[in-house]
Amino acid sequence: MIWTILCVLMAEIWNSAGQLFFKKTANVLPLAPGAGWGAYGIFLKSVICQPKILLGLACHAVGLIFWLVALSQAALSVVFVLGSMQYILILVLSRVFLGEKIDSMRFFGTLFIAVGIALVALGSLP
Amino acid sequence: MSKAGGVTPKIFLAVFLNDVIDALAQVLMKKGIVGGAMVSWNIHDLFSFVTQNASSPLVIAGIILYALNFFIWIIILSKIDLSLAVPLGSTTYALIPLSAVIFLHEKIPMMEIAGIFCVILGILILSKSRSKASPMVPTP
Repeated sequence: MIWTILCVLMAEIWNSAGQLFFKKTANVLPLAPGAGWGAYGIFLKSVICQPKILLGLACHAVGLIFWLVALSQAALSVVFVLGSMQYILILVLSRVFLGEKIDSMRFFGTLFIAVGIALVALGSLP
Repeated sequence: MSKAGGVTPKIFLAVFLNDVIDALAQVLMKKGIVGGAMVSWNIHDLFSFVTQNASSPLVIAGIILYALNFFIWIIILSKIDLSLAVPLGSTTYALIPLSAVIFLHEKIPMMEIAGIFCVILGILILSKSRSKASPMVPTP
């Protein structure tokens, strides 16, 4: 069980780092709102040429390996529930590294989700 | 400099679609893992675990769905904050246990059901969050 928890934690840390790289890129990519499918094609082509996207994908690849190892050891719902730590991680990292404003709705919404996930986790225990 | 707006129904639908695909990918990968659990932790076992599972069709299908999800996710991130998009993605916490029950025949206790409702409540609260401080940046 301790190995499963460590594997999930490692997966979450790598995935969160990947998300930060993705968001940093998404912030500077141009996408005209409601510009149709052609605009999405150009957008996606410009996405995969970004070095930070590739860095983010590499982080996710490492995260995925840890995730698959964890999946092989425990029931899917148990492994997924352990992944709840990412929500707190993302909230802190978004504020520190991306300067996102965390309003009360966002704080309490995330809190409810974290509590809900804790309940799910408790329910999953034998 | 963050390009961020509130959560529109279109964005919520995109996040939800992302979650449905994610839930499907998770179930495919769990079903597709071959060679049993990886119990000992060393480089050799990790390598054979990866190579063994890289040829599993269900794991590959799961990874392809991940790629599709990646593009949808980048589009979502170009519209809303990361700290909004990630918790919104927690609809999977309702979807994954439900799909685990249906496809993998795992059992869900009462407390888990309560937790799922709590997560749904959290999503409803989140959908009220706005980013007034960061208006849309005009595209060059």
